[in-house]
Amino acid sequence: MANQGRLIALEGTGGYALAQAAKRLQRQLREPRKPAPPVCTWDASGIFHEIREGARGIPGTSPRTLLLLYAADLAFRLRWQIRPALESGITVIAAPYLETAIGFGRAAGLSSSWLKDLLSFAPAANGCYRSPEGATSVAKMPKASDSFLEFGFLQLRNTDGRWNTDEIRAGFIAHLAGLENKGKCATVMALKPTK
Amino acid sequence: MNIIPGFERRRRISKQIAALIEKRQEKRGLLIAFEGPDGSGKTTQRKLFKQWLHSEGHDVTTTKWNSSALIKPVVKVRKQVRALSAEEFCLLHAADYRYRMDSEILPALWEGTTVVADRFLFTALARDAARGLELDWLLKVYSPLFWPDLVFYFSVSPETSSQRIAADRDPSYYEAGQDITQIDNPLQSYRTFITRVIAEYEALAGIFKFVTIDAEQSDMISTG
Repeated sequence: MANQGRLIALEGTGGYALAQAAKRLQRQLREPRKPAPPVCTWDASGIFHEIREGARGIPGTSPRTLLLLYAADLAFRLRWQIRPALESGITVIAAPYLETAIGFGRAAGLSSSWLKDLLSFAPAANGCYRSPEGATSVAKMPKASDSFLEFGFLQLRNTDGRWNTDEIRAGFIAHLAGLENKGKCATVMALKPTK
Repeated sequence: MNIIPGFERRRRISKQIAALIEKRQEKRGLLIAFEGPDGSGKTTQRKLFKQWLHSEGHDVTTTKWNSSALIKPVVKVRKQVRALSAEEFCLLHAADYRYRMDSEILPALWEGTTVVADRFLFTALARDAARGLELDWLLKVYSPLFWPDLVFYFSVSPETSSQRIAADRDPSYYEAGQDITQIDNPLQSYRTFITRVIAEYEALAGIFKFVTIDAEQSDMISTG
């Protein structure tokens, strides 16, 4: 039987920063004479893309609905990408994974027990990292098409106006910082650029 | 002396909130669910019930299972290409349910409108449990739970449900539970799957005290 691969979680607000962090992590985790670990990204199932395309003029969703959709997409990613890689002995980077959903949900006021129960079908990661959340240019800001958080904020802004997305974003970043302070995840640091 | 700072203020606010909730509850509309297997006649009876409520002067709105403008198209495409696992099937229907709860059902209830649901939470519990998912996890996925004021359960045997479905059409892939049974013939698969679904419904009917209606009689279903 082949060795079980490792599941590495990479959490963050998404977009360019998360994609760059994933590349750095691939280089860090790459073993000699082996291909770089594959990166399993958000919305592999296309659920969010289809909703975004069809959502014009339709009221937005609540955080709870967004997280149910995230869980559905994650179930797809596990079935088609993550579990097959792990069973083949391949290390796989899930970017984002559980803590992005939990951080978003906690920042939006949902209970951590509900979030953990909802996502209990997903295996725990063998390691957890976060992307650096420093200042970035407008052109490199995450968009609703490449970030669960931004997709969620777009939906929340399209509801009855009771959601403060700036507060949720700050709460989300504080959640990841809290994990890092407890030693449960580490920021992916920049490596020397490769030629 | 105020021993606990802010205690009186918090108690006053709590009372105000409780009074507001009570006042809201007084004018809240009723949520009435129609549940049962396919071919049990619940849709026909739901339409007649809605007409009767209208004739009695009630404001009534209907909500149907898997019908939200936002999520239904996503589910429909995946059903067509048979791309859903049991978990994905469950989670997408739960998202659709939650979206309708937030945007249709709860606002209507708080306005005092009676909401008649053509399938509700118990459809999910029965079908998803029949697909092998744990009831405990399903109840958590669908939390916070909002129980209907009344549930009409249209009880038929697996044979009757299968015969009525077969008279009209072949059941679709997921309706027939072919994702679980692995039986190629849709009607054979339906018979196997609906037997499991009905067993789950019967258990729920006892626990949640449904009003059970014997729907074996042919006058329960539409003749048109």
